[in-house]
Amino acid sequence: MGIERGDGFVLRIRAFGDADIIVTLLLHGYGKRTAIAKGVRRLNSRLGGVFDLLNQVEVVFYARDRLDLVSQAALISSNEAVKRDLGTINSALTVARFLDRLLPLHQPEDEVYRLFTRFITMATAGSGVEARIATELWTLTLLGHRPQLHACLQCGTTVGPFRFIPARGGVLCSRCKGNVGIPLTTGLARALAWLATHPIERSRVIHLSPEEQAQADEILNAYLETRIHEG
Amino acid sequence: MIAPLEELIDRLRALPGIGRKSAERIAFHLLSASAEEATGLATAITRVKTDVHRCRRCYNFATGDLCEICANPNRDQETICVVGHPWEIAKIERTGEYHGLYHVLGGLISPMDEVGAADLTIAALVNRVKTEGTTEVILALEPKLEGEITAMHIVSLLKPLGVKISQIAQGIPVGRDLEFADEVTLSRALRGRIDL
Ligand SMILES: [Zn+2]
Ligand SMILES: [Zn+2]
Repeated sequence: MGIERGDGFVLRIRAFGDADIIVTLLLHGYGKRTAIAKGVRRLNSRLGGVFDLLNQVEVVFYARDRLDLVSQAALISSNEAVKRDLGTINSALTVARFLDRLLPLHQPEDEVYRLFTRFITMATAGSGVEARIATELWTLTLLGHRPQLHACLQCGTTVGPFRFIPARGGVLCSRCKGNVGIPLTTGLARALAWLATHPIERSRVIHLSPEEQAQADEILNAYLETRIHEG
Repeated sequence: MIAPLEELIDRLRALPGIGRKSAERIAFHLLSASAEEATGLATAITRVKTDVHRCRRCYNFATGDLCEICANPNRDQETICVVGHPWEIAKIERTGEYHGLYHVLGGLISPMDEVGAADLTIAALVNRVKTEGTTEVILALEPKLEGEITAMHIVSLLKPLGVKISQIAQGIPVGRDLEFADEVTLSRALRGRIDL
């Protein structure tokens, strides 16, 4: 059990016991860490107000096997600009939850950290749903799960309509027995493939309709489920 | 250890704020207590589950159709204070600063936990404001992001109805439970509320 110091983002908070919280952090150089912060829900706590969702914090903690213990913490930024608008809050929380579920504990994953920092910077300026979806696609790629969206896994055609097969991490065209999985048009497949291969800052080039956004989320969630269960 | 005792200890440990040692202490206390004391506790637990339900109007705990506050004609019928959970009402009542009605949401909007507006009693709140002649709505939600999200959503629904909306967050630091706010802090927060 050693004392460590790091800075990063609050991905998740759960109340624990009477006055404690369990906080999931994405720390620069440390990756995803889960820590208990004692007494922070009491009015006189030194640490109160530091751990709110999406806050950027600096923490000193006792590193332990699974559950670290927070000894000191300070607020770097509460990212107020992100929290001013329901749309950007929802986007940021969706990405935070995506990272919380997909990232393994205690693996630095600095590229994912950098990506999330860029995403938060974009959200500060009021980014769209496309930036959020691009960030999720890139996270999958950085963790070695890039989905194949531009062409049929079997015959390689780039002409849809397709169906996304979560267990195979890619799309099948209708000729290649693509009658299971989640349907997507050629247009959506191309848009997602573009988002997955270009910097997230350029995501505003793409515009997804509400139906396409819902479909993209269904695909990402189904794929995320299979990745989590595999390991 | 014998099975019935072990089960009691396990069930006590599942309660908030009770660790193994406390659970054992309570279990051994009950074991040596009079039959009357033990069955009295068991009956109280059963009654709380059968006799207490939610107020038809504000979703506070109630033994009748309406809770004590809704059934009190001396309360200011034009003001509604919105809270996340019923136990936060007791806290505000103790300040003696507030004389209006309440509305219990049953939680806060939390995208992380997939709690959406539809899981809470927000539609019922909007309906009350439309039909009860409400002139002011005070939001007393936990000062954390979920509370902010919930407040923003409620404001967007109530603003078009022309009702005055204010928030008591003043004085209660972010991240602390309303539960831990002392009466003085809460009184100050209630008096110093800000218009939204
Ligand atoms: Zn094919
Ligand atoms: Zn009531």
